[in-house]
Amino acid sequence: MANEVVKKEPMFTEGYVIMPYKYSVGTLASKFFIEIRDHKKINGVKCPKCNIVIVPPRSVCIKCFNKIEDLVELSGKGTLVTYTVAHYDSAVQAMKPPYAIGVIKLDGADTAITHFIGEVDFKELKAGMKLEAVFNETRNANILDIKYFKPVKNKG
Amino acid sequence: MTQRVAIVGIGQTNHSGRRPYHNDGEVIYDAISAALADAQLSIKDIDNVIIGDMELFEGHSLNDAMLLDYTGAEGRSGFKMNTGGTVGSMNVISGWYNVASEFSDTTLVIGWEKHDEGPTTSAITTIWDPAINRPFEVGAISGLAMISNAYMTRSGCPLEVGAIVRAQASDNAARNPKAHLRERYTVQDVMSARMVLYPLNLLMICPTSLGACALVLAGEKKARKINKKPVWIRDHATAHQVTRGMDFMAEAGKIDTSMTVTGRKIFQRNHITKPMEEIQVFEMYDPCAFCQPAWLEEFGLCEAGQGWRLIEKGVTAREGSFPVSPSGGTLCTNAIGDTATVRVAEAALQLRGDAGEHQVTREVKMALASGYGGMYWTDLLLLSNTLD
Amino acid sequence: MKAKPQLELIYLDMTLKMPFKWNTGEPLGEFFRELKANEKIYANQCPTCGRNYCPPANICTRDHSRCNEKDKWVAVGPKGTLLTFFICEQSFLIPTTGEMLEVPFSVGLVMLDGAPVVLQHCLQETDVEKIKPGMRVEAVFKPKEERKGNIFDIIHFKTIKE
Ligand SMILES: [Zn+2]
Ligand SMILES: [Zn+2]
Repeated sequence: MANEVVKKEPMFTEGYVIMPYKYSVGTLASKFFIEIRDHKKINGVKCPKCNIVIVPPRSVCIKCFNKIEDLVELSGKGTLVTYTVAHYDSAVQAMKPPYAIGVIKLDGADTAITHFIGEVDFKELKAGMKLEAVFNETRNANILDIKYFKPVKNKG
Repeated sequence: MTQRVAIVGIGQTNHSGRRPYHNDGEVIYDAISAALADAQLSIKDIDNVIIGDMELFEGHSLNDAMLLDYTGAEGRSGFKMNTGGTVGSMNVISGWYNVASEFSDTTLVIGWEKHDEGPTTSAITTIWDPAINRPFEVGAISGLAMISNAYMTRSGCPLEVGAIVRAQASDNAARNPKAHLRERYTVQDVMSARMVLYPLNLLMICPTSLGACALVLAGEKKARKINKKPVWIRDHATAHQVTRGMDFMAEAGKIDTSMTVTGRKIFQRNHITKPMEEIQVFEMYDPCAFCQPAWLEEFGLCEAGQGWRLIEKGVTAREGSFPVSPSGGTLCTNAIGDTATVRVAEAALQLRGDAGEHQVTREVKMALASGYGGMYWTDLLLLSNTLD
Repeated sequence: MKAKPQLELIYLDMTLKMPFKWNTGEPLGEFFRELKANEKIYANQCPTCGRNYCPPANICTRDHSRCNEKDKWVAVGPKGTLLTFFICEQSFLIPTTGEMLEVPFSVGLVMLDGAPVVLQHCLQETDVEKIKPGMRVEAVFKPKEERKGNIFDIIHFKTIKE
């Protein structure tokens, strides 16, 4: 009996889950994004108790659970910790593949930030290489105001 | 290898409709800081963290992972609960299992929600079976509207009783600084509110709030050292109910609901024969105005058909002989992921005598707190301020 | 309350859009095939405890007995009695389509003739004065060529006089 039923046309219910969201980044992170948008500056936040510098910002210290309220200015330059190159596409990706994504430790920060790496031959990617931020012309106070990080060219 | 479990720290944010200055993690951090301060502990004294909220309400999955630094869970054990409306009580119950089993000595339990960020009703609608009844549901309230309508038909409960419940809740919430909707309403005000889902008007349904509530649970030996007024979790029960297109309603009034099952278990196991005398207050998860009358009956606190009559007599008021939701309840404050945690927290405050202006007039030794949601599921907890 | 300093606050607007294609499985698939082909609404019964299901259940929720023998299915409805209902007056975003709900929107639980089961579906009537629990209703089907084998092969339940 069960087999006879299974041989018939399979039935499906199709649809979507479509939902809009409005996420508050909070007071401290608002300041962080406004600095990027208005001054092309990537800031970190500093724990007043243990002095750790966190970027992207969090208003609670990841080490001592203390409240953090202030930004500290960073240079926008950093070091590549690790990376990967995306070769496949899906509906949710912000860039067309292939593109490189890196974990970057900004100078003066104790944590690292993930972002795209641009203006680079993928073969030249190497942990430890120096990178600097490149900003978009139009900026909307979100993380994509940073276009990508690119290798720092040694002068001369 | 079991130990008794007490609530030794209680923290709750104020609840509101919007809180744009803070992100979700910062709201949670406020509740945790308050709970730790109440217990006079620091995060270092916590060994296990359990967090719960509603899926898809804020638009990110695995938000326990995203919020880890704010919850203080790094390097500690713990997990995320996800049982829908009962999540706030299920995380307390999970905390109980962790501590009772001696797996943990001090567990931090967090319930939270930031309703202003996503389409709540749409998100809840995704819990329903897409082939059979998702098209016919409007979030959480449509099912409650059906249950209310059927209860009114079955028991003869008039629409005004819903308005009495809400007016009473508004007076309670006005006394509770943590509540969201704190305006006082008369029965007339409630009766004339805009219709949302017949028979429920805007004032007869719970609001969408944001806020967080945290509790610190500790094992017996530690509890007495930490807090002079530990509140003991005496017992708890959970019951699920299958609902394929609300098919259980075909036998409504004849079959056991999840409330009936949990009520019976708790009263039998604890030899409670006159629950409204032996228990002095009930913080009920009451998401619409007809939950109190219908569920007083279903929990087995009174006879079928009597729930609404008790409410008419003022029994469930803050000064009444069996106060229900003296905090203002879910009808005035509903950050879903924290709603049932708040029920437990508020029942515990009543037991400690620390509820302030909304403390009930009756002396409280034993209290009930419930969670409700998922799909007509119930958690019921029995709390007391002594172990006698 | 201290006044907050003026500060621009940043929000991120995001839309989550994820498609799904959910296999109904059996016996729900067969229930939909019957709706589509024959305008028939079927129910079944647990052979152990006698509980009734519409749409037919595979497994009894009470005792976990299998109850999907098609030859024991019974056709129920299309007429029935309204058990309870709601009328929604406030629109919301329907997550499966991304569109706003047209209101008023009324939904009932209908006790279908032939077995003690309820089916949840839209009511044609949206005027609260004209809907009463206990009233008689009947399923209205889409024309055969428009039926797709889903729950909307029934358009709604209309009020009938008997
Ligand atoms: Zn620190
Ligand atoms: Zn059965």
